[in-house]
Amino acid sequence: MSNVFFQCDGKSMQAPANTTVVEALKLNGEIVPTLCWSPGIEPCLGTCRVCTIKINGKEAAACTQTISENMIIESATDEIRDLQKAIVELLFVEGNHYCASCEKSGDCELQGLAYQMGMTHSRFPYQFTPYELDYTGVHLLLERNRCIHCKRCTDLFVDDKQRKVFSFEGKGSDTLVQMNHKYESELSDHKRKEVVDLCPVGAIIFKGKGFDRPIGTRKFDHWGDKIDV
Amino acid sequence: MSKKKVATVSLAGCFGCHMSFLDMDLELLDLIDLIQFDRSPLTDIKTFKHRVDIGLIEGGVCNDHNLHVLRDFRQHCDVLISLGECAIMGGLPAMRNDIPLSECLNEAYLGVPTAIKNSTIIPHHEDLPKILDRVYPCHELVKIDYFLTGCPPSGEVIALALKSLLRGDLTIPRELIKYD
Amino acid sequence: MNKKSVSKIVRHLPRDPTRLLDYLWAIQRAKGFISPLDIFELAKLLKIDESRIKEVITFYHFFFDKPHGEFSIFLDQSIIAKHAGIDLIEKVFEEALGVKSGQMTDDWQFGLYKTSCIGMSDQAPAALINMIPFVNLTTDKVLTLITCLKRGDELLKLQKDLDCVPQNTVHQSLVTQDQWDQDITSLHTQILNPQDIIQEIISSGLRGRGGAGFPTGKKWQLCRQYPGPRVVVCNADEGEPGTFKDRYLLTEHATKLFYGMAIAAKAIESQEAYLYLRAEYTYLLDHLHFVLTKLQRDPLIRQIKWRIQLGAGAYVVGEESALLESLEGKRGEPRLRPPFPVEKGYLGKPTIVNNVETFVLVSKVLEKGFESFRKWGTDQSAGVRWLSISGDVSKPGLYEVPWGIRLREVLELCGAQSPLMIQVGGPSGECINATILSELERKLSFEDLPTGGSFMVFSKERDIFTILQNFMQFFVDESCGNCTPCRAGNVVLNNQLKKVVDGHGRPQDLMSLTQWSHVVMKTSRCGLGMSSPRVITTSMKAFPEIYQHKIDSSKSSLIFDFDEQKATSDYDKIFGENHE
Repeated sequence: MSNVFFQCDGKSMQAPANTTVVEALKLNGEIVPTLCWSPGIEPCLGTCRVCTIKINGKEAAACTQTISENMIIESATDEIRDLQKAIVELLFVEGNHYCASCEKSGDCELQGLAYQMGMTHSRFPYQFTPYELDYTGVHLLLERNRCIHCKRCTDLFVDDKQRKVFSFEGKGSDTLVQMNHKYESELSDHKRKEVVDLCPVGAIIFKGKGFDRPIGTRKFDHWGDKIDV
Repeated sequence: MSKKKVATVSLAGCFGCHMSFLDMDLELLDLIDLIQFDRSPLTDIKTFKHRVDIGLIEGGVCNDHNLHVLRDFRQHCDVLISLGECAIMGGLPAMRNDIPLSECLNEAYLGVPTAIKNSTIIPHHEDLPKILDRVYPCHELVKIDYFLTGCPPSGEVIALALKSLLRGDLTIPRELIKYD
Repeated sequence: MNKKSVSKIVRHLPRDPTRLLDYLWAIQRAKGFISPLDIFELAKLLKIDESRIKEVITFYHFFFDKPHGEFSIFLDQSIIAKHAGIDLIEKVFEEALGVKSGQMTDDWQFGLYKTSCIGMSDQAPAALINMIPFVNLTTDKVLTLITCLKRGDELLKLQKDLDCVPQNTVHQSLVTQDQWDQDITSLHTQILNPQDIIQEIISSGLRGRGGAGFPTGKKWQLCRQYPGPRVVVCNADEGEPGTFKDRYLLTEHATKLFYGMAIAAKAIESQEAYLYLRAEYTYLLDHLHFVLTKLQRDPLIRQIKWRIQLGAGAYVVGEESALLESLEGKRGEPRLRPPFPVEKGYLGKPTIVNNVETFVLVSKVLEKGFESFRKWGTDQSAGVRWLSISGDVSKPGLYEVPWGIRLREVLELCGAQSPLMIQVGGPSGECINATILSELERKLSFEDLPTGGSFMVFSKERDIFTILQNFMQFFVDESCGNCTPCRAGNVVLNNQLKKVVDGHGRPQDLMSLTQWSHVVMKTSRCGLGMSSPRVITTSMKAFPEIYQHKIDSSKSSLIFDFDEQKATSDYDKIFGENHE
């Protein structure tokens, strides 16, 4: 496929046509933070807005846009970095994220992203909204305090019979992920693992299972060293 | 150079952050040449003797006493640091924030297996602090200048932070930011 | 409640999941609400997952999965209704029925609820009762209403008897209302070919009347670039608080509207046309079907497959891609763009979505010729537009004005009473300080002050912060919940505004308001989140002094305001106030 040429933060870059802006930038060594999107997430959800960048002077979510000839992109500017960080901070106050007691800590994509951005606290007031925990599943625990409404489980996950197990119910700030208990109880081993791995945070986890690996060996324990921000 | 004065306190915290402070091993010896403690559980000094340079707050604000202590710290410290997750966002004590206070107290004093049989009394006394409706992060009540994350922040982080602050500005390498 | 089986109730509907909204309306009408068993049966019937149905029910305001009363009363919560005394009306309802708003009476006869603007701001306070609007409510009317309903009187009869039927008061009409002298068939023969139509529309300079103002002809031309079948959709989901001009156009000018749509269909060579009607205008549904049936004798209309889709209550569905989702029987969440609807719209087909007023104007342009349309308006904003004027004016109602009209002239037209603030274009529009004379010289136009038609005037007796908080609460309620900045950000902004209004703010809190507004505006997925913070930003610009007034700069900037008494009030309640 032919390459298209574009600019990012004043640097000339190129990437194959039809790649998303996130991937096009990545091919050129420019990492845009992403949360609801990660490699393999298809189709793109565009819900978290963490990958907001500027394309031709206008803000857009990089995962939702396709690279095109002569695009002018602003990605690593202070303004853009601050917008991206603000969204992560919003997620931290919207849910109740107690990392110290979370089974997913160290492997949580939200936490990893916050580390990467050097977030020490949220600029927004913590909301402490009560969320109900759904512990009635047979295999899985739905811990809504940690849910970031990315819609990976509701839009991308189906069971072996192609049935939708998770749904997005309600509207606005009352929107909650719900679990179909009948389908959940029938989930096969590999499907259970699939959805637990799909959840970027600790909102969908195995029931009766605590911590996986010791501190220091988890995915994001050394995240900050690798990413140069 | 005169030693910088440091004050510390634990509000709604578990003293884990203070333990972490003591856990900085040999760094403590370096540090003790640079700072001296004023009000702190480490010195058992209960009130401010002087204006101090650096205040370290462990824990969030869960009762009116915490609130007054925090304000007292703000008034006496040039620089105030939230030390650990509880000070920063309420931490584990804030898990009660979505439960009504009466329910919390009932559960803690009447509903638990260790409660005195048939007891209907929730301990309270005019000398005891009043418990707030929820646990508040420190920076929502007073201006906090710096935040040291972690539950607790490691001794290494605290040492690095204090040393860099004594040099001018508090910086810690990004890879040391941890929330657990 | 009705024990009829779901399959019987929905017998008349095609087995098509995209018609889910119609199915749910049919079930709810027959049974009062949609029970888990109904959902189960419907899922089996349509061969879709139950959770898909639950997602849809819980998204829309007017679908209920629990009983909500034989008579469900929805009180308009727009600021205009508030100023007109809806809170008193609510209290009267509450006392007469013995329930709190949000509840149902023990005998399940009445349910009392709140809803966003129902498009009756010129006749506030108003309420929907079983989707029938009751306007100009008074205490007496409410009391009579309840007595009569309990007695078993007919709703429609009561609406008439109590003088609660919505009226359309037109104070000025320039183009739309003049003689529809065109013989329908001659209009048809005049239309030579699609390209000519598009050229005519482009020459007229007509821009979308929904608010964004995209050139209509250009939109159609873009759509034609993509291979068909193509689709025409009319957006009759005017949900912006304070607007009601589409209500009038749908009532009085439905013929012109359908012709406008038919002309568009001809222009993009489409055989499918959909009208998406907001649920608040359910009472117009029969009328629209009647007009459409009557027009069927014209081949121009007959060759198109028509459908009128009734919405179910969601402001965000006014966004065109959300509207398409809803039209497909899904949650009305805005789509990611690109692709734009002109490329992939309804069921993936190239689609043009235009506002009611746009289509009405299309038929006028074709009737009168583009020159006569162009003689109105400004360079960038050709023609005329309808304004829905409400609030503290002596003549609330409908005004057709030329683009480029000055605010001062509008205020004179409608008889504004010592105006303090004008909200142009609804909560998502712009807040104007009406006491600054130079501001009143500004022109309604895409160049200066664009508007989707809502025009609210507030007099000096009104409290600006009450208005602004009503607007912010509206956005919190109406955010779809899909993207982070809008879902979480609007809540944060609303709380922060409350903090300032309650007098707990410090100078840095005003700065936060500005900065956080910027975050929400710049990162949101659709127009809702991109414009909701304008409530704050434009009012801060128009009335900086009222914000400054709330800030006590003499207080320490290190120790923040904190309501200790409130924070310890739970404790005091448990152990008694006189603890100390």
